[in-house]
Amino acid sequence: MAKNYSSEVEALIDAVLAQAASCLQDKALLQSIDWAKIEGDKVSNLLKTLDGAGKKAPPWLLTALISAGHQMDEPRVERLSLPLKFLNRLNGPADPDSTTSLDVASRRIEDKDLALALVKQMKARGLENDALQLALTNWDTSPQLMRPMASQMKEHLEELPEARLRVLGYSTTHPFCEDLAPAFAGAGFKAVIDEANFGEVIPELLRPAEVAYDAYILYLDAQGFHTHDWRLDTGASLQMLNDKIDLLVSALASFASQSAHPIFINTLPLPPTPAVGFLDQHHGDGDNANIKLVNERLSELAAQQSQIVLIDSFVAMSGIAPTSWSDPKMWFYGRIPYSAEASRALAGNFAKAWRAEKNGPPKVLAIDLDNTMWGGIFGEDGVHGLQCGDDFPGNAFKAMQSEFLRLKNQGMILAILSKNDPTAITAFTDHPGIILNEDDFVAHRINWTPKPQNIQELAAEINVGIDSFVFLDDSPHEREAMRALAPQVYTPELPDDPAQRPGWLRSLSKTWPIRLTKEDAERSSMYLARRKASEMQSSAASFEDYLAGLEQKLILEEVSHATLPRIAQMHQKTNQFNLTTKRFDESDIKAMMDDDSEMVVLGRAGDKFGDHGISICATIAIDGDKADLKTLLMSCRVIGREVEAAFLGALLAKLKERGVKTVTASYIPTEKNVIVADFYGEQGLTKSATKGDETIYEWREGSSPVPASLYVETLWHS
Amino acid sequence: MSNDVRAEVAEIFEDVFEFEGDLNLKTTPDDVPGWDSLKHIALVTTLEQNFDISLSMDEMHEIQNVGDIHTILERHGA
Repeated sequence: MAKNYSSEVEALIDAVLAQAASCLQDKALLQSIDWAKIEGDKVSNLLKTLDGAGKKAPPWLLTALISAGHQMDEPRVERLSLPLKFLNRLNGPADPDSTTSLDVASRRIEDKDLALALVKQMKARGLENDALQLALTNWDTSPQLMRPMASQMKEHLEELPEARLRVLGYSTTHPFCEDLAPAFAGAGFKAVIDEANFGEVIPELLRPAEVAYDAYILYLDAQGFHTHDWRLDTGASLQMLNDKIDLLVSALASFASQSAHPIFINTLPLPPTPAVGFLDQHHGDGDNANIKLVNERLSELAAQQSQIVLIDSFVAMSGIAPTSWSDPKMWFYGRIPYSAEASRALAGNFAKAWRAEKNGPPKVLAIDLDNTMWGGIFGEDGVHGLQCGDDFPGNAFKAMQSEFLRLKNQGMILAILSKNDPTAITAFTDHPGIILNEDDFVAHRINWTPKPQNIQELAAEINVGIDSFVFLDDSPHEREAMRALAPQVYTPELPDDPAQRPGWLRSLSKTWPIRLTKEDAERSSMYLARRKASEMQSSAASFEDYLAGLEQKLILEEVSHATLPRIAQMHQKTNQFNLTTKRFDESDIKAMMDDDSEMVVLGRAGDKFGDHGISICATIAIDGDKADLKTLLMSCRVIGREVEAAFLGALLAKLKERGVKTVTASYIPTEKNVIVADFYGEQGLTKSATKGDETIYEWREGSSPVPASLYVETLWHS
Repeated sequence: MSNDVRAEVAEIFEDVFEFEGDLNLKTTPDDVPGWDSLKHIALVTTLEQNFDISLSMDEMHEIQNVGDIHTILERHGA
């Protein structure tokens, strides 16, 4: 897409390039140039100008030039990062040696322009798999990387094992579901998504679908779960929140007792804006206090039920500013609970949890010695010259050793893999600051044999595959050699700076346990037994109890000027629960309102947790003792709670009062309304005819039953 | 409106709707299969990401055809 600059601008740029040495200091002018539009020889001249003035091209300039497709001489790029060096090589003429991208594809690349340039160049050079891998690795922060890879992605998905997922949420889950495909592909799985109806969490958990899903995902958000009602006092509002949590927790427990599938739930993120100012952490109305309450209860449950896995939303979204975790306009537009970037970040962590569930964490941590286990070189500095202990800089290495012990405690096996004098092992006994002991390691190879070969021997000795290994080494050469010769070993980029390493190791999600030990599993079954006993007394053990406990009310009325816009809007927007999908607008509804032979009826649904507003409506044409239901539609918010049966029953009773003896009603299929395909049949109406796609049903006074729900109280508002 | 931006918008339509037809300023949701309220969200999100801008609620509503997208992008200096 790189067009050239206009000749006027080009002249200005030429002037800047001629004065590049002076411009370098302030960056500004040089940084504003789109280098993709500048010809190669002008770039070479620029570099020569700088050389002539005795100035070196700084890294930011080299980065911009290479990202724009220019190639630099090797000496210039020597100190740049590996991805930049690699792109620089790709920018040159085809070179058979440059086809090994090794680990570049699995790197996080913060610079978006660089990432996109790499993906495009790798693809252009036939490294399509690596290009896709790089796009998938960085997709959560740079989604545009996937665009050039669309067709490769399709092919790639077909090769991956499937993960069949059922996604539930209190708010709109759709955009998040779209994010699950690249997220799972990045973790090595093809996500096959089945979304539950809008807002249907409790009914789904209490009556799990018969379809065999591999896992359930509960996509939680604070606003969808509970919106504070400031008309209530603190006590009543806390009561309502607690009721909702009780309901969710008991539904989850009931799900876990009936189903063997894991259910992944994200915790609620703490809000960056308080509801009760400085008191927010502890006040009963505080957002922070309330959200902590929800998370606490979920954590208790997850501690007891090993199949319930919590995704820490703070960890997942920690790379994003908290004020960008949601996008208010998207919430108001379509109840979309998280911003696009937060949604991708969460999807990424759900995928990592699934990978941990399926593959488990790697089993062995193979650790290099010099400058990885301790600071300094054993062969040169001697045992007592090694840095490890309580003082700077050895304390960073001690902290890292402590992390190795952490992983050991969490079930990983430690091994030593070092090119060193075999006597280096004595450092573990002779150095006072080293906290690991020789017998913390199950095996070691301390010799001068190449590490890829040694790791094979270690694997044979410990009796695990080399694909169960993580290899930590400070030397980029050792890492490259391992990746080239033993690619099944997971060889992450250990940070150069020892201070960064302990935190980095914690963030290495491939090592995150999802379930710990057998004792853990046993403990959870013990809890399970205990919980079952107490569950007998707890509420909402069945779906029917849940419905009964909701205390639902449905208030019916005929349309008025005040409600007309909402009825028209429902006719325009409702897709799923819509029997005929006739898109009446405001003027159509107004005409019916003014016509005695027409009726427009609406229902306001509510339950003990609050009001759902106008949720269902119908338009009816009446002709003597015959009536025809022209439209019947309902908002997804109340699907699955028998509101529809209660509404239809109350409506038919009303028509009967007006002398109607037979009612006809149609179902017209669309792409989206399959959930109501058999609605009238289920409500006891008789199929009487078909006309093209349309199925016509009939209700006759006396012979057809009047639909009703035990769980919804109906009344007419005059 | 620069040709670069036009090409970018066309690419976004290809990306979001897999739409490869003729895209002009008068193109409306009726001309683009799949441009419903859910996909509208994806469209707005992609525009925001691509041009590094943030649309308001009103602007989200204002988009009735491709011309409106360009008006908004111009307003944001894209």
